[in-house]
Amino acid sequence: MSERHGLARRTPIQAVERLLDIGPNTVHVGDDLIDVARRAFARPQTRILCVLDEEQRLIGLLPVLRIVEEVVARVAPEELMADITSLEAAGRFGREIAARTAADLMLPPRALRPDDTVGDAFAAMREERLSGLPVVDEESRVTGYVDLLELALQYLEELERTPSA
Amino acid sequence: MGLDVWIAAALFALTYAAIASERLHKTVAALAGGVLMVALGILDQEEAFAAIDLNVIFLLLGMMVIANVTRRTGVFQWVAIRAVRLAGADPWRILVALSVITAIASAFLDNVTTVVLVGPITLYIAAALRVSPIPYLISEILASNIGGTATLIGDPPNILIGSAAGIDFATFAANMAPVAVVILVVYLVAARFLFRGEIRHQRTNRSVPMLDESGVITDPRLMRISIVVMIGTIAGFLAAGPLGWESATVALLGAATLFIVAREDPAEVLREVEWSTLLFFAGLFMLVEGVIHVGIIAALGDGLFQATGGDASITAIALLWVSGIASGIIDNIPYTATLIPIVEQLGVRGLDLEPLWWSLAIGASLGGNGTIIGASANVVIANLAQRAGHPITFVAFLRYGVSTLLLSLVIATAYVWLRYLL
Repeated sequence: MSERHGLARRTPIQAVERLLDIGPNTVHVGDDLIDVARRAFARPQTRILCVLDEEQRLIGLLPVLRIVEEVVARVAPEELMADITSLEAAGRFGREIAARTAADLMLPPRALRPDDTVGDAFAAMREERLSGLPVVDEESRVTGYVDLLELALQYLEELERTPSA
Repeated sequence: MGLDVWIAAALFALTYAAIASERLHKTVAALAGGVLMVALGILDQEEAFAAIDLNVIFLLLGMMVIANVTRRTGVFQWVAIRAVRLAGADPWRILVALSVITAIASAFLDNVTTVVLVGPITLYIAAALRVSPIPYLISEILASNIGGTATLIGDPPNILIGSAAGIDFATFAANMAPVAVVILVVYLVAARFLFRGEIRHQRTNRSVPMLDESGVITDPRLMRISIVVMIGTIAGFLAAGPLGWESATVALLGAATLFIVAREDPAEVLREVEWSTLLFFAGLFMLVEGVIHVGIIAALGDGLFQATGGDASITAIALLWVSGIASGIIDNIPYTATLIPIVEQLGVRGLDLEPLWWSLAIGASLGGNGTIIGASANVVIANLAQRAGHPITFVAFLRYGVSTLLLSLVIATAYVWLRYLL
């Protein structure tokens, strides 16, 4: 992160990517969730895993928090049951404890294009309530990753450096 | 017939159609129908608002507050885990344990609380055994409607009937609980055959990992307070008749006590109240008042009286079966709201009201078992199943629902006949 470039809401993602250190972490749709959890644990900075099909195309997203809850549900389900006070929470718990593979737990795919802007990235992540999003090419193959906190900190540093930016 | 009769009938029919077709949210449909009765001059606002039975609204509100606070403590899940531990790993015994817990909970709690109580443990067990949770969830729906029949607060139709007929909690339980218990026992015996295929198929070598029920208690102090308030509220319901209190007074007293003693944030607790349900009732009361006001209900009562020849036995049994079948097809809340004034009309013509009230209450509550859309418990559990990735289809439910409904109505017919008509 030593290199400094102008960073504004209209800056394209392809120009920002090289400023970011956190890279994509990918798993396959049929991977066992415990293996997926180990992959997530090995690279804790990437908080959203990309789920790929056989042709390496992005078909889903897997927030690490969901994987954590699934693993906790296997070892201490009471801890999650204690938090269930709504129908929605009960349904989510049911889905998590029955999940066995990445496909069972993944969210629908959402990604940025290289020509999307920093503003688009902030908007997309806020809308989807995700802390990061992959960047994909025309064939939905993952080429990069944008972490919300890392991007926001970079943006903040840029603002502090050049208040008019 | 005057124009007002046609307008009221059309509004009533359109509102029912909107509720049944789900083209509009039922609360929106009922409120719109009710307020249009005023806007189109069938009722004036004072008449419409006076028709809203505040005893029903505040009884529901008070019980929702008590249940919302109590379910945060984890005590309901504690009970469910204890019951399942007693059942061991045998799928059949688990089904019975979950069904009995659901039936008891449904007699005292609202549907969402009951589902939050039994839903997670059901899904957990099914996942641990690597089997489908659907048979268990269907059995819980059926048990919920049977259990809800037992008390005044068990099912919305009962609340409506109890309030309209001035029947207190103790009298309601003394008349309804015996038949509900008999039906539940017979249902559990029949369930062995109903779910035979699924349960036999589910026998596996897997066992349910032992759950630690103490892990679900989030706030022991609040739990103790909630349990005391809940027991006190039920005791209050039992004493309400002799004390001359309405049920809503008891429920609001319980809710107010809980707020004061537990010091929970009222804004947070009230956010979880099912306001849409309360407004649905308000709209229905206004809508039905409109058709009463123009004389449609009196005419229907007269027609029913003529059709049964004024025979109390035929009327009571017909009311039981028609209510049972109709409530499986249409929402049992608007159905009951409409039938209450019709039954009152039969009373005006000299029929003994007691067997009619019980027939309506039993039929409307049990009728919910007919289809997956027959009662709010069905919809809530089906919603949970859908969210958890195990949708229960209309057709899949029908086989179990219709069998259980017919069995229940036969038992209920014998009960009403022996207890009230002989």
